Amino acid sequence: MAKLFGIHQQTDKRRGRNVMTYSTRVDFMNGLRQALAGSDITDTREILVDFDQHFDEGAAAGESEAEVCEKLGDVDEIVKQYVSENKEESAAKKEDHFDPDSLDMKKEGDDTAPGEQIPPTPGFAQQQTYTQQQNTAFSPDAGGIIGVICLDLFLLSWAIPTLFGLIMGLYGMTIGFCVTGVVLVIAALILAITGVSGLITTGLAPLSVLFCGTMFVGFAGMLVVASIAATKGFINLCIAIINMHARVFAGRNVLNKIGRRKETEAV
Amino acid sequence: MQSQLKRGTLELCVLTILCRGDRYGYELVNIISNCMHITEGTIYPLMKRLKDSGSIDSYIVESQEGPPRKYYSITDDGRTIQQEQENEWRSFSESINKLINGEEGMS
Repeated sequence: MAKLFGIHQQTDKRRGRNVMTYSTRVDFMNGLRQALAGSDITDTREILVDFDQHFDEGAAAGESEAEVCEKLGDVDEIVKQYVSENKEESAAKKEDHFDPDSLDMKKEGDDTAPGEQIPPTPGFAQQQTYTQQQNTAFSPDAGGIIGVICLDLFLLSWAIPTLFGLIMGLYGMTIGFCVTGVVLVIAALILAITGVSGLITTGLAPLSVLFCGTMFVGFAGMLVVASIAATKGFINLCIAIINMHARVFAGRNVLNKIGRRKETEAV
Repeated sequence: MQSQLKRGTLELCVLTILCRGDRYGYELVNIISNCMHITEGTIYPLMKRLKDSGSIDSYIVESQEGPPRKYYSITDDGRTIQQEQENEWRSFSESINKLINGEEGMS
């Protein structure tokens, strides 16, 4: 382990050629104060007190200021650490810390041949961050799932069938108006050609019949527009529902939801 | 990746030490740096996170000679986390050791 950390330090030193190193307590504390001021850390006072005390203790233990400074390391690196720990903490509030992921890995490894399951160390870290990200992105929580199920009951038993029925009704009306209008126009033409003065049943003049027919065709045209708009809205609603499911459940359920969407559309 | 590994193990080290008794910052840093190579300044950010997350607590003790000391103590949550991480570390290092020693695939 000490080896690993040693390597880490070396790379740090190589990377940061212009690393600020301080040899006195005052310089170190000023550097730290400045670096903290340049970060988005708010409660800097306590941090400064911690380091002040560290210097006090070091002095009491007989260490020189330069020694303490050197062991503490680069000021910017320390502040970076505070910032990243801060981020980690706020991220960890939502999910478990990284432990469960690696525990799972180990179980896998123990169940079967460990050599196949456990990647070499660099890979391990990669995989670990990968599973971690997955966890944050899709962590199914019980509340969300119950909510979605309740919503599904409402959607499947009432909202979706009702909307679907309304849209089908719109299409039916459209077809009805269209057919009636066309028939009336044809009838008016036949009346005009045959010279009959009006429809036997209603006694309407051919011109009135023609106007009626065009009116019905006009209605049909408006209904087509309305039907298309309603269909678009319905499809968008379905997509929104599927997306919601995908978000609440893990990515694995997306396919099922699409299958279910077809089901609901068929209702 | 090294920082990831380091951070995970450092946390375990801090929690384990505090499970055995309260320590003040400088003392804790020295215990850890005696057994592994660390940049000492990075312990304090870790202590702050552990405190923010409720794994550890701190209190100030005034002393007659010398400066007041900020002691850190473990909380019940911290103990649970320490136990989890210890188990995890043991099984993790065991499997890595197996791999390094070339015992993999033999079980």
